[in-house]
Amino acid sequence: MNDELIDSATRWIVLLRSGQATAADWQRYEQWRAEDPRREALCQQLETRLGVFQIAQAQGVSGKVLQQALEAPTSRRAVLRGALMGAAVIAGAGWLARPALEDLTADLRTGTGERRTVELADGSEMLLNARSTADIQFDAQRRVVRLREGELLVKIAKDSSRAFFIQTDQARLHAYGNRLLLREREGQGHVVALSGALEINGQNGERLQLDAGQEVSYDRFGFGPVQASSSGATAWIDGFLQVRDRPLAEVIDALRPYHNGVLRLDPAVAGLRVSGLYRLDNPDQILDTLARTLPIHITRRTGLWVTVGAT
Amino acid sequence: MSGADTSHSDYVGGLFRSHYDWLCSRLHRHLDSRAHAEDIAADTFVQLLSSPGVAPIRQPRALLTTIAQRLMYQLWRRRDLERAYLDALDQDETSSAPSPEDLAQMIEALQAIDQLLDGLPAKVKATFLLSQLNGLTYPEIAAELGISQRSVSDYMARAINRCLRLCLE
Repeated sequence: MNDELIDSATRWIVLLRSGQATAADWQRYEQWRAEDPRREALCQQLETRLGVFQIAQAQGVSGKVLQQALEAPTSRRAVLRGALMGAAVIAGAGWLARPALEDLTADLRTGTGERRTVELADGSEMLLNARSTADIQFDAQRRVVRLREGELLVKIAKDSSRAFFIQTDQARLHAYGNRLLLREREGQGHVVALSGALEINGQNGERLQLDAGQEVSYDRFGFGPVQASSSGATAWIDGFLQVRDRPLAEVIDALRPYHNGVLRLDPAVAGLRVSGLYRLDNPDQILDTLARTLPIHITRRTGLWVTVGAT
Repeated sequence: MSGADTSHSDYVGGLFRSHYDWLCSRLHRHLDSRAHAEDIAADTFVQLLSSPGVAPIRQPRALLTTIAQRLMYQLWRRRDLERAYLDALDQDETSSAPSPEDLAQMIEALQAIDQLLDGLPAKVKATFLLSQLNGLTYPEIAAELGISQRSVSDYMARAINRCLRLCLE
């Protein structure tokens, strides 16, 4: 019964919105609607439901922007489900001696401006920079950390029977040594071998070996030149950002994970050179400091929307 | 307040005393602040308080976890939507910064729209939004998305069908 009602209402509304409905169509729709109070009620309910779009309309938000927002990834949810379900099982059946499920499937994430150190099941230590997400997938054969987004520093514990890999969207990294730093955001990756060698396999099949003290950038098309690493790359570990004669764009990118909201950079000033040591816990202060030393102007329209432009 | 209500709130009160701290620390592992964990834990008990039919509960921690989990998804989804919305505005050169009030209102609306269209394929959502928000006709939508007019009609039917179904739930 309801199916029939819904189907006929659907047909009417699809016709009326097509842009080709005639005055006669509208008249017949009004008639159809008035014939049965259930039809009238349903059409009114639909209008109420769709009322939620009035806010978007009033603010002039386009369908495209809304669509993009609705496509927000929800990947963390599935992982969390696993982790919390494990908790529920253990809580509900506490007398069962079971290993904690969270050790097998963990989901680690940090919010804006947050750094977090975790000890992994094998004794390795991992530090996640702000706005980063990683999964831990350890089994009897190997240890895999999946970096979904962001930056991590890992101090790998020795385990001769299980190799240590880090998997990202663009690369797979095999670590032999014990400390490395890896960052991947929006398809742009960067690896620093802090101690010990490592091997990276790019998405295009390319393979590269890094020795201790070397770093390299990459994206899905391949690797950049291998360079001797600078101490600036690891400064965030202590809560600092250190740069020496780097473009402003790079500094702004490093600040993004610490800034809540949109940080827009005018391309006209993106290439300005910057040197200095900055505290990461207050990105607003860094911006103000930069504005005093560079020909730039910071516009804050809401706390969530900051534009860095030319003076 | 009837006698039954009093005993239910006493019962939930008892659960609160024995499990609140546990729930907070459990939630804190997945949230970036203690305050968020406390908010969600408190909301969990409020939800329990407003469903008198559930007592007595054999495994309170399992039920609390289930409710808290749902609340946490909502919070996370809300954050994901807010971030994606700001990113979308940022990429759209014609958009300017929303005021804090506008933004708060819009995020509320986005959450409702997200639930309304949940589960529909991206093309169906895109079609419906162009009709609903930009008021485009089917030939215009077809041109915009590079699909046939037949597909536009089909997609519209799917989206409207879902909205109507939700109305009758």
